[in-house]
Amino acid sequence: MTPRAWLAKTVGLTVLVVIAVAAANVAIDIYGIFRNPDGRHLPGYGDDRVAKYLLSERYVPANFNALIIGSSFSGNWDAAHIDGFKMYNESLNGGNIVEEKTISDRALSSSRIKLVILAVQPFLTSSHEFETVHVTPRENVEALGSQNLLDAYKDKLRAHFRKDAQVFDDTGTITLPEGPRGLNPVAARVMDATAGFKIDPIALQAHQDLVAELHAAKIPIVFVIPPISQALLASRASQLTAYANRLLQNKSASDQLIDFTSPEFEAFRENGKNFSDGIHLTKLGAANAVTEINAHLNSR
Amino acid sequence: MTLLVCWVARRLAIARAPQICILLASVVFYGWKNPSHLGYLFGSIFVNWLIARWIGAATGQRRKHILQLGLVLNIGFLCIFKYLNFFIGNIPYLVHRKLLVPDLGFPLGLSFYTLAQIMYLVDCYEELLPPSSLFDHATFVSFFPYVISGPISRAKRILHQFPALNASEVPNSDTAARGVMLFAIGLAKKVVLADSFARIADAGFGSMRSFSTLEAWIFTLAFAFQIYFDFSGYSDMAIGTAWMLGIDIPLNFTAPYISKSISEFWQRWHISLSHFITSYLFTPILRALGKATLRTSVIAVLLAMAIAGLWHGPAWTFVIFGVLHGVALAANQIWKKKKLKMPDWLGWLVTFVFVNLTLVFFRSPSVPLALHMLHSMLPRASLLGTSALKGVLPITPVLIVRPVAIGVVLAFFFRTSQDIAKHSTLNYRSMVATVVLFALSIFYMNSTPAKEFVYFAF
Repeated sequence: MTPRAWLAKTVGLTVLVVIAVAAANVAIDIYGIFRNPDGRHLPGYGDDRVAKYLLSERYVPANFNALIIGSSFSGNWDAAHIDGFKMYNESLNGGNIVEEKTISDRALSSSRIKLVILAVQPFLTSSHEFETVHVTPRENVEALGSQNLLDAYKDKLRAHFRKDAQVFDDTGTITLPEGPRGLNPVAARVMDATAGFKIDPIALQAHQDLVAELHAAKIPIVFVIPPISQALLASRASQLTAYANRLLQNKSASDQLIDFTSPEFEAFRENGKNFSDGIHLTKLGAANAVTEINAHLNSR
Repeated sequence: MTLLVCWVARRLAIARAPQICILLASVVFYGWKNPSHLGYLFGSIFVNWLIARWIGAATGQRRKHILQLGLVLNIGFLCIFKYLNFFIGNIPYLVHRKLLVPDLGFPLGLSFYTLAQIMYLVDCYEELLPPSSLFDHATFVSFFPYVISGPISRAKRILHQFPALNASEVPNSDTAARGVMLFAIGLAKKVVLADSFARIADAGFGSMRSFSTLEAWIFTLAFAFQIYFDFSGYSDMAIGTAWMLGIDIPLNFTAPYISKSISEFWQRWHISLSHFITSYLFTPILRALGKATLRTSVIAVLLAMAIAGLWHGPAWTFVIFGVLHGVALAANQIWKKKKLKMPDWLGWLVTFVFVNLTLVFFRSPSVPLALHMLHSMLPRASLLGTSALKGVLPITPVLIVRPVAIGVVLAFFFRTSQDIAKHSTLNYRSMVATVVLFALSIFYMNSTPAKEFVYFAF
C-alpha cells in the first residue's frame, strides 16, 4: 500500500467508523432524543441520572403531563397508576433536589406539564453533589456513543433475560428491594435528627427556585411529605415538622399538601408491611401510597 | 485544517506558503483561548530576534554582554510571570509582614518558548547558527505543535528544515502517514490511559484522609503512569502533527520506566529538557566552578537539577523534586566513578521506586501533603486496606481498570510509540490499528471530559 493510500484509507475509515457508530445509535435512539418519541415506551438503562436526564428532553414531554419529583423513597410510587394524569416518576435513587431540578427542568421547559408532585423529605436537601454523573447537555453528545450508552445496551440486553437489569420502567418507576431490612448507612445518617435535619443551603436554594419556577409557570404543586414508619417518626416528629415548615414556607394557597406524617395516616405508618426499611416502601406500601394520593387528587 | 490550507497554498504556488500557513496556524492556535497572551509571545519573539541580530553583528566582549542582557531579559520575563508570586509569597516568612501579591496571570507555554529562545541566543553566541529572519524566528518559536508544552526544540534543528518545507510541492506522504499513526498513539495514550490513571491518582492526592500502605502505593504509582502517558502522549501528538506538516522535532520520551539507573532515566524522560539541563545549565555551571572534578560535578548537578525543579513551577515541592533528583544523579556519578556494580533488575527497581517517591512531591499541592502521602506509603498497621480505593475503582471498570492494566504492560514491555510509528509497515494491519486507536480515543473522549494536560500548568 502506498503511503498516500494508507493515509486516505485511514482517515476515511476513521470517519466512516465514527459516523456508522453515531448513526446506529441515532437509529436505536434508546433515550428518545433523536426522533419523535411520541407513543414510544422507553424504560431506563445504564446510569439512572443520565437516562432520566435524556429521557426528560423529548420522551417525557411527548408522553406525560405530570411529574413526581423525589428521591428513592418515592422512586417506586407507580406513576402509571396515578389517576387523571399521565404521570412520569423523575425520582432518583439517592437523588437530591439539585440533581432532580437539573433533570426535571428539561421536562418542565416543554410547557406540557400540568402537575408536579414534589416530595418534602430531608434526603432531598441533605446535599447538592451529583451522586454518580454530573449531568450536563454534554450527555446528548454522549448518546451518540459512549461508555454509558454501552452500559445501557448491556442492561437492555440483560433485561431480555432478567427483568431486574432494567433501571426503571417506561414511566420512570424504580423497583426497590422488598426487605425487611435496616436503613442503609447513608439513609441512617440523613435521618439522624439529633440536632435537627441537616439542610444544605445550595439544595435549599434549588428547592426554592424549583417552587418559584413552578409557580411562575402556573403549574400546580402537590407537596407530599412521604410516609415514614411510626417507629422512626416517633423520635423525629418535631424535627420533621420543623423541617417541613421550612421547606413549605413558599407554598402558595393553590398548592396542595399530602402529609403522610399526619394523624390521618397513622394506620398506614403502623402497618409494617408498607415499609421495607422504615422510609422506603414495599411494593404493597407504594401501591397504598398511590391509592392515598389518588384519593387526594380526586377530592380536589 | 492547517494541513488542508497548507496543501491548497502549495497548489497555488505562493512563495513560502507552507511556512506562512504554519505561522498563521500557530498564532490562531496560541491565541485561541486567551488572545491577550499573544502580546507576550510576540514581544518575546521580537526582543529575542533583535538580541540575536545584535549578537551576530557585535564582536569581542560586546557579544558576551549582549548575550548576558538577553539571558537576564528572558529569565526576568519568566520570573515576572512565574516566580514573582512565589518569592513575594515567601517574604512574609522572613519579615513577618504580609505583602500584596500582584496577579499577572500566566501566559501559556511561557516556560517552553522562553527556554527555546535562551538556547537560540546561546547557539547564536557560540556561532552554531546565524541569526535568523524575523519570519523564520517567529515560525520556529511559535510552532503550534510544541509552543505550549514542548518538546523544547533547538532552533538549529528546526530552522534548516524551512527551505525544504517551502520548496517541496507536496508534503512527504510517508512521513505524514507516520505522523497520523504517531498522533493516534499519542491521543490514545492521553485520553485512554493517562486519564484513567488520573482518576485513581486524583482520588488519592485530592484528599488528606489516611490510606492503607497498599492504597498509598497504588495512588502514587497511578500518578507515575498518569504523568508518563499524559506527557509522552502529548509529545507524540506534537511530533506526529509536526511530521504531518513535514517538520521533524525532537523526541521527548523513550520508555523511561525501564531505566536501570537515574542517569539513564533522564536520558529517556523529558529528553528535550534533559538536553537543556545538560548543555545549558550543568555544563556552564561546571565551567564556572573551574576544574571538572567529582566534587565540582556533584555541585553542578545539584544546582542544575534544583533549577530544573524550580522551572517546573514556583513551589517548594518542585524544588525538592529537583534537588532529590540532583542528589540521586550525584550519587550515580560517585557510584560510576567507584566502578560499583548492581544487578540490572535491582537497578531498575531502585530507579523506578525512587522516581515514584519523588513524583509524590511533584504531584502534591504542598510539602506537608507530600509528606503525608509518603508517610502513608510506609508499612503500618493498615497495610492492605482498600476502602478509599473502592470509592474509585468499581464505578467504571472499562474506563479505569482495563486501561490501567494495559498501561502498566505498555510502559514496561512495549516498543516506544516513535519506534512503532517510524518502523511499522504501512499496510492494512497498521491502518486498522490506527483506526481502532482513533475510534477508541473518540469513544473515551465522548464518555468523560478529557483532563487538561499536566504540563499545561508549566
